[in-house]
Amino acid sequence: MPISDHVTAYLIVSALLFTIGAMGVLVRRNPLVMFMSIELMLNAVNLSFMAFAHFLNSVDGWMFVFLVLTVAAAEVVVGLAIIVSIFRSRHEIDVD
Amino acid sequence: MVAGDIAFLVLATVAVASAFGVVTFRNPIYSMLSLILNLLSLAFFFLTLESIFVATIQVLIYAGAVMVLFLFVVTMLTPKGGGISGPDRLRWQWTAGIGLAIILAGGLIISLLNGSIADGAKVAGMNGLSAAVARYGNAQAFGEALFHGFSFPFEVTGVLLVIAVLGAVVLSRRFAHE
Amino acid sequence: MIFADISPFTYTPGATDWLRILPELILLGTGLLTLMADLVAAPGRKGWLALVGLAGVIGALVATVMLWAGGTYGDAFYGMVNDDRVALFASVVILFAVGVGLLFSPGYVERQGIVHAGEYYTLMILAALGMMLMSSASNLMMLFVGLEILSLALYILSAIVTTRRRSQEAGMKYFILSSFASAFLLYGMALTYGATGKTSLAGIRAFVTTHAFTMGSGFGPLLVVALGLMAVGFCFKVSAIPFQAWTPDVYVGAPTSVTAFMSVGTKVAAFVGLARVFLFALSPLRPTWEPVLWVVAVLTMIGGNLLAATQRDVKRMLAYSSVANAGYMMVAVATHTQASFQGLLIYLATYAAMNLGAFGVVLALERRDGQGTTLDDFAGLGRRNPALAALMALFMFALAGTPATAGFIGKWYVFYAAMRGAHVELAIIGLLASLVGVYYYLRVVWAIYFTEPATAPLLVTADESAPVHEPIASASATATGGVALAEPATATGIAMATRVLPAERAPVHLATWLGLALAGVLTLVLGIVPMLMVDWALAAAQTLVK
Repeated sequence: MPISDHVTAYLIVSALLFTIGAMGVLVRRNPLVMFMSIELMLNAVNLSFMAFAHFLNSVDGWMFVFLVLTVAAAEVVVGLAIIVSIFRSRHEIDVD
Repeated sequence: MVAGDIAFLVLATVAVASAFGVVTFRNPIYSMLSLILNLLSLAFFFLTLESIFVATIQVLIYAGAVMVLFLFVVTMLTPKGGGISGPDRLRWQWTAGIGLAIILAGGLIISLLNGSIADGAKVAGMNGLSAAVARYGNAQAFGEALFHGFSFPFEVTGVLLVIAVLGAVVLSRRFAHE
Repeated sequence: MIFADISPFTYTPGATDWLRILPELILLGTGLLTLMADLVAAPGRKGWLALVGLAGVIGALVATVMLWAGGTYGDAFYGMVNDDRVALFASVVILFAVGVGLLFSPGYVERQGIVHAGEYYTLMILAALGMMLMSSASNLMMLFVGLEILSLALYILSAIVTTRRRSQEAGMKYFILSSFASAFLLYGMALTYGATGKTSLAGIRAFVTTHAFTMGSGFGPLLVVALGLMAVGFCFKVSAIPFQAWTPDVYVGAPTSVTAFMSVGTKVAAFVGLARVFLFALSPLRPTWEPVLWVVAVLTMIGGNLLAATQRDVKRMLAYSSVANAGYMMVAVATHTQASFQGLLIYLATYAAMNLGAFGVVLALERRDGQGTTLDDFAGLGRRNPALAALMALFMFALAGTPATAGFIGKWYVFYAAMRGAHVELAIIGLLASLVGVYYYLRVVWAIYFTEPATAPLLVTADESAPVHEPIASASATATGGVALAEPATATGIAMATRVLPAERAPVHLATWLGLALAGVLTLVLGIVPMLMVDWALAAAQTLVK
């Protein structure tokens, strides 16, 4: 049986991506890169959801992925707004 | 199916390698481009899992629109290849972080290899996804579920978007006298 | 389980579904109304928006009580949310928290020179909406979306003082760490879904009840990992040790009115969510998760109290005290009996009253530059402002767990349930830890009544504090503050600061007094005649833990 027919294969890729993302949050100090690592983690979870939806023949996983996508988009907006806002204040301090 | 396996392995390699790229590149712009590559490889994974519609929105919205916004901010805040904060963490922090990551990955993978979806779960979880896809087509099946059974969470995300818009206004709008 | 036979592709919600979320709908309408009303409000005079919000909160409260009296609870929208008594009980506490938070806001927002006052009120109401959705969720999806709504709104509210760096850094820290925790929680949810095939809590419960669970094979390993990941996510959200690192910085950096509201609201939402997942959906797996939560409860009680005892800043002390309180609540979850869940609900309600009050007094004393909340600033308060001093003493005695105050009732029910539920050791550790609590809470009372201020604090502020520590804050505060706007801006920033700052220990706003009085009365009422609330909590506990 080919490996791509096993849900475990997808889950392991997903676990690897999640762990790499978590490592990124832990070891990097640049807020932008930490934020990208969080996006990586959310996407790893999405892969799990899609694999489960496919192998369980259940639509819930698709819906969850759609929600996570929307949530991640909203998070990107707020997160970038906070980062830009901090950057501008620091920048102003430097200039003054 | 050997072709399927090769495709899977290639995709998995690209996904993991690009994820490593995100966390290891010193220049945030390269991290960003790696992240886009990673999102695209996930979209291909979704295609192999027979969900064309989710793969499409992954490319259009996530890898497309959202990441363009991200890239814009990264290029704005990263003047000459430097970051917006000081140097990255010390060596022991890297070691500790990598150690924790290895433990986490090891635990996850061992559990995932030992466990599997129970047949009971396949019965319990089934709500006719493949039948609906066969009947309506991929995108319409997605839409039927989204606007019927799962309409409420979908509507509630509207609140989330209002908050996001408010956040952008509150945090980045500056008044002349500030 | 009602929805097991209905296809998600054809289900259509009806009028009863909308009726069940009436309080949430009223709150949503109010939030959008304040957003619109902001357009016609004159800049600098936006305090009345809080009243609009308050009217909506009262409306939602009335709707909640009507639903409770109606007594026909059930699922709505394909099993996404429900209006069971747990949800309604939590809604009442959350609405109380947001109501008092709104009362605290007008004076504080004006004093801190928060420019986006209109959006501030909208975000506060929408955050409360997210909390209510999370505590009424009966599906992992709604749990996640509710959590994200409240988190996103609170990130923005923490960072809303764009002129103060500490506030922005609080927002940043909260954002990164909280999203990190959300990802763990979400991964746990994904694996739960994979193991059981369900996202609805009732479906998960049915699956784990009817299928044999072994840790080493089948769906067992998936579910064990899922439990661990979700425990990490929830512990972050309720700021339990070892995941409390973000709490003090965020609670101190955020505007105090927001801290007051968020320290109560997120605890209610997250603990009810935790209870729904662990005590309801996954309660058959109790032996697996119980030791983990036991350890977390012990660590949090001991660590939280010890850390709080070392603080000299009262705001920071209260932040660590909220960590310690999360520990007592965790005891209730780890005990996992019906009585302990009743205890958790009672604890949440009493904690809301006294903690909001304590933060309210801190808020009333805080100066424009965000300073003025250390123990030294409380020295001699008993003579300077007797009413405020008496209220602070009341809240401190309540938090310390003195009989005849709300704090005693909460601790009594949690520890009593722990002893009855064969967790005597948790009750003993909790009691010993609260003895440490008595020390640092009563130290504040001591400072208020039995010490004298070392120097004249107002002069110190004017000379060194504001311009040195926070140049932007003082410069823009003078530019945007109501007093300064009336004057022609001819003086330099420093000169303006010296002139404006001495007057900044302004009289406490009327609405703030009202909020403090509400919290104070409730702290006493719940401590002296708690029976009604205890009965309600029991009725709620019976619907969830069987």
